[in-house]
This record gives sequence, C-alpha cells and structure tokens, in this order.
Amino acid sequence: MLQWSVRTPTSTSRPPLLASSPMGGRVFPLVKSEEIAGSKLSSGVAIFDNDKFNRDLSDLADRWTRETGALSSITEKATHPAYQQIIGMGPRAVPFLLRQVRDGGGHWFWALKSITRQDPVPAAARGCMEAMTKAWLDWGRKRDLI
Amino acid sequence: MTLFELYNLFPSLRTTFCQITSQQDQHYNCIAWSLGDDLRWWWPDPLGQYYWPPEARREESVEAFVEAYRLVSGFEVCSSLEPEPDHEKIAIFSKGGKPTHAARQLQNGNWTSKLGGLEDIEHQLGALESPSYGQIAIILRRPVRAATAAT
Repeated sequence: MLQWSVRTPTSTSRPPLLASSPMGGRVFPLVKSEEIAGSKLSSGVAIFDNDKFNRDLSDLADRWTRETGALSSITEKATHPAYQQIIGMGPRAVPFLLRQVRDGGGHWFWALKSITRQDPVPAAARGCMEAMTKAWLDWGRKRDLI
Repeated sequence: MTLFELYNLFPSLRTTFCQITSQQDQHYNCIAWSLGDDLRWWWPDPLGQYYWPPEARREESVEAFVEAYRLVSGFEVCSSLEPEPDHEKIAIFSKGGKPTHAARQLQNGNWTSKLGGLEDIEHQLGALESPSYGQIAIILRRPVRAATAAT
C-alpha cells in the first residue's frame, strides 16, 4: 500500500512563481490574489495560515450541512459547491474531514475517497454509517491524521 | 429541525397536514425508510460507497430505481395515488430525470418520508414537490402479503 500523509510546509522561503511577459521583458507574479485557501501572500511568498485554512473549512462544512441536510442523493450532496471546494483544498483537509466524521458531522466519505484515492470501507459495510466511520477513523489513526 | 424550518425547504408543508415523527438521524435515508430499513443509507452513487442492492443497476435514473424496487421487494408501477387496503405504495420524486426522494404511503392515506439526514415526517404527498425534490415521477405498489413476507 502506498504511504499516505499530510505535510504542512516548514519553509516559507520559496521564491515566488514568476512569468516573463513576451512584451518588454517585464516580470509579473503568477498569483495576484491576496488570499488563497489558507495562504496569505507577502511579497509574493505564500505563507500557510493553518487557522484560516481551518476556519474556511469549517465555514464551508457548515454551509454544506445547512444546504444539503434534506437531500438523499449522495451525488447531489457531493457536487454541492461547498463540498467541491473542500475537496479542492486537498490533503490538508483530511484531518478536518476525519474529525467531522468522528463527531457525526455528515457524509464526508466521498471527499475522503476523492482526496486520498483510498477506500478502506469493506464492501459489506457500504451504506452503514457506523461501519464506514470506523473504517475511515481506523485508516486515519494508522496515519496519525486524527 | 423545527416544522418552521421545514416550511422553508418545502413551502407546501405550511398549508397541509405535516408532523415530525422522529429525531434527526444520519444512519438511513428515504430509500431505506421506504423499504423499512433504518440502518443503512441507500444510494447508487458513482463512487460505490453507499448501499445499493447488488442485483440492481447502480444508476441514478427513475428506471433503475423502479427496477431496484421490483427486484428487491416486488414493487410494480401503478397509476393511482389512492390508498388500497391490500397494497403498499411508494412514490419516487425526480428532478431533471434523476431520482431525489421516495415516500411510503401509510394506511391512513398519508405518506411517511425520511428527509435526507433529517427527520421522518408524516405528510401529504404533493407537499414535498419543491425545487429541492422536484416532482412526483412515478408510483409503485406491491401486495401487502409481499410486504409482510419481505420484512
């Protein structure tokens, strides 16, 4: 089995991504937004802000829970914009998602499977929330993600 | 969720009979509840994470749902919403051709629904037609004898 873990960057000294303009040789940062998921840009250097990242996750999860609670369709739940944004936040979102699952916060299995490309749930446990939760929490604990 | 909050989701509940009949529960959904299962979440999701009868097509279409109900519990398509003492009925809702919800008829002619991961309610069928659930797509029925034998 592939090793799987989440790493938070320890260095903030990466050079900014730059692009050369074909007109006049000027250089522009590729990322212009002042804030991207969990990051603040200072002088072109992305600094990971874990608190903001978790706040963003929490806000998105709250919105998703509020707006999809009455839906039975897992496909419709998982294609909700807030859910898709959480998937787009990538491996760093996994510990948050596992905590959500542990605390009874909803159907995060699609997101976990999409991000990790793993599926620890045995076929016989499909649809059984307690067994699915246990399988994912066991998976997370083995990797020190929760 | 309170009845008042449900009215925001399903405005027609405001003007028809409706009562909440359970606590919120994420362990089962409307499809499971329509078949008397309160232990699993049934859905033919494309990632294959949720329960769907293995003998049925894993497909989100009304036709595939009808097939699943027939294979699992002997339901057949019917044309009447009226209660029949010797038959149990299920209504499937759809939106844009995709199933969204199922409700089961009670002996008193009202319907019982599990609202996603929220509560069970007793209601009038048309009151759940909404932007969220779409429209009633099809009615199924099976003899009460089959219902008794399957449970």
